[in-house]
Amino acid sequence: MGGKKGVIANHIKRIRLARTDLTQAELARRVGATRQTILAIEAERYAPSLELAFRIAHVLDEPITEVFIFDPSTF
Amino acid sequence: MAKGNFTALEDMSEVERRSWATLIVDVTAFIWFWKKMTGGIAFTAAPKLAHTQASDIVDIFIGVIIVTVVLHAVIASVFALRAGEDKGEKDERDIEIERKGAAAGFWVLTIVINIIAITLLLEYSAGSAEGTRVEGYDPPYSVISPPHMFFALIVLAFVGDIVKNATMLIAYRGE
Repeated sequence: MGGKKGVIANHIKRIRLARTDLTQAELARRVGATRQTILAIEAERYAPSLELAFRIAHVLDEPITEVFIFDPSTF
Repeated sequence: MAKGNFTALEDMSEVERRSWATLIVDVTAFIWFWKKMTGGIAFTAAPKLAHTQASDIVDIFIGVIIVTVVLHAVIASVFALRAGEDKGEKDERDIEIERKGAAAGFWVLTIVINIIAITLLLEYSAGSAEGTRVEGYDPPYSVISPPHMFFALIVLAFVGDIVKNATMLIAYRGE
């Protein structure tokens, strides 16, 4: 599955709540995923594919590097 | 909605719910089959079969097929109706987890099929087939007779499906 917790962190929840009025369900609908997958990504239990990561960043209207953070120390 | 909690029913995807339903049905049908064939529900590596007559085996075989097909059809119908309510979509995570479950089930099938094949070969070459007993190889569970082979293959089919669905549910719970 897409990576263990901590390898790829993200700020989806923080950005979603602070800068948009999107719910998990609405974000999921707009990126073409299920709400459960958004929940798993926000909890950093699942690392999305590159395409889904770009879609999420696009919907949140942020650069992908602002939304997803790769920690090289865990590499 | 639970925060990061994957146990709540509303936090499950349709694929996860279907996995739970299939797992419950498979385990139920498996227990029913095991009980019918062995006369009890004591799970051992060397079960003693209660039925070895062809007519009994055919009855049980037809029964297990009917029970399994009917229960799987009910699950498929329920989830097809829910899909009609726009709840049946899969995304990349569902597909990845399904693939992982299928791979686990496949490996179990492959390994056990090989064990059965090797056991059969050893039994034929140096085993305890009735009337041809040769000292040196006496497996805990013989597969040389058709009822025993039938039992092993049906159990294997159930175990493969149970492993597949259990692997998926473990993956859904965050590994």
